[in-house]
Amino acid sequence: MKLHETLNINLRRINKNIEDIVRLDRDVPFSSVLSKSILALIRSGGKRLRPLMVVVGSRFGTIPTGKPQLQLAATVEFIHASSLIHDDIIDRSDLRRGQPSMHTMTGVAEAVHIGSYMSARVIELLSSYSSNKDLYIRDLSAIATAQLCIGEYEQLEHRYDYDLTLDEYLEKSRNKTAQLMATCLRVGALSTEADPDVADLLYTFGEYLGMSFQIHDDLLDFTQTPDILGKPTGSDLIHGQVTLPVIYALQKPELATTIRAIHEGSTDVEIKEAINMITSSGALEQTEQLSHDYLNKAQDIIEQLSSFPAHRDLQSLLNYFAGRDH
Amino acid sequence: MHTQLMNETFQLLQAECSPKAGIALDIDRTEMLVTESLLNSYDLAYERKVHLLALYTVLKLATSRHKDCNYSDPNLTRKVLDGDYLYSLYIQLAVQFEEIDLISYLAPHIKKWQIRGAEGHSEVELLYTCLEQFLNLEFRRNVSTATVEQVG
Repeated sequence: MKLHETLNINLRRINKNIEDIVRLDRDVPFSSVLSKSILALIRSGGKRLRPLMVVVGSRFGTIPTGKPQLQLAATVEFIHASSLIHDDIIDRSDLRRGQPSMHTMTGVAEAVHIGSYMSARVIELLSSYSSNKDLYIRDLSAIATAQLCIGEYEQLEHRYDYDLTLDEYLEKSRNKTAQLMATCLRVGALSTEADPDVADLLYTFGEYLGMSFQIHDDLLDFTQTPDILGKPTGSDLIHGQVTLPVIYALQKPELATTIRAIHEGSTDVEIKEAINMITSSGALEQTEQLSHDYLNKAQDIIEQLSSFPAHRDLQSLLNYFAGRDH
Repeated sequence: MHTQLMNETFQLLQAECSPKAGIALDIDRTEMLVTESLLNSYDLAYERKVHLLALYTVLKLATSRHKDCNYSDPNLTRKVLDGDYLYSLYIQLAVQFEEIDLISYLAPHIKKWQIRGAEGHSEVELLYTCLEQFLNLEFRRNVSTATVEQVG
């Protein structure tokens, strides 16, 4: 059973809401490159984890989940999609979900503006959806967070930095991934007038889940096949990203010299040798353990929220995160 | 020329801009001076002028960073990231300064600039004009509210 089915969330309605963000924009002609490119990106897939988390969060409130929550969920995915367009440009990645990345079709300058259009459109919509000024401010400042960019700056600063500490890695992961997931649960909960303490617990749950998600993602980069990943195995290392498996492997002095020698101009053979060393060093098992540790912390929060029927949805999210292979 | 308002705006931006972003605030002082004149022509509190000038400057910087991005530019990554960060900073600061009406007013304009950019046009509606229209609207609203109160 798919995650949205387990959670009893109508994904088609969420997808329609996401597409409506651009389709109902009177300033964008239906047949324009901008409209077609965005719709193609949205329809190319994606797990829709963030909008699902908004809806799950909304089930902890005091009023029922309705249209405003679905619209909020859609805006979160729209913002996420806009960040993917800019990420692909930054990473010079020509493929997204097995399809040509947007900038390869539209041109780089145009794709930058399309990504920025998506963020600007969300701000415009939030200001028109919300009759309640406080709600508007809260959603706005939560979604349009500069922390995502800080995570990217940190990643950029530490390219090929083999002295990256565990704490620095965790902070980067928190900024880049975990905070937005945590925010999805919290804004969902607050949108249905949940108790602020409950919303805070959901935030912490989302942060643990997000940390586990990012660590697991970094693990999959070493363990999955290129077919499933849609990119070469060890792609992060090839691009200078020092992830958790690399940090653990570097703790073994006999591996450090080979790994530290990897740089932008390294050959395929050198990279493959380093990847094989990391894979057989026990670092992957250590990485998996830390990912599980975060899930265990998240599990503790589910127990604290067990008086809410929706705690079962948190369990479904956690089970999904624990079992995903791509 | 460096006025007190400009200096305080610059200090505010330096304090608010994360050192991790490492963005050089290469601000066009002449343009700031023109915008300062605009702000001075309205009856605004000094602190609000600093806030509005800071928001104006952050938006101008964001727009300029995202301009003419291409693969042959060795600074492409930084340009994209800086533009994204500065747009987010604009929202965060505007929320912090309680300039929510400004966010709402500018949102459709900023969106249209991006649509024009995506169509390959580089010229955008002047941010200066948008700010002036926003202040005119606010000023007229304030005058009519005051008149109603006096009549009432």
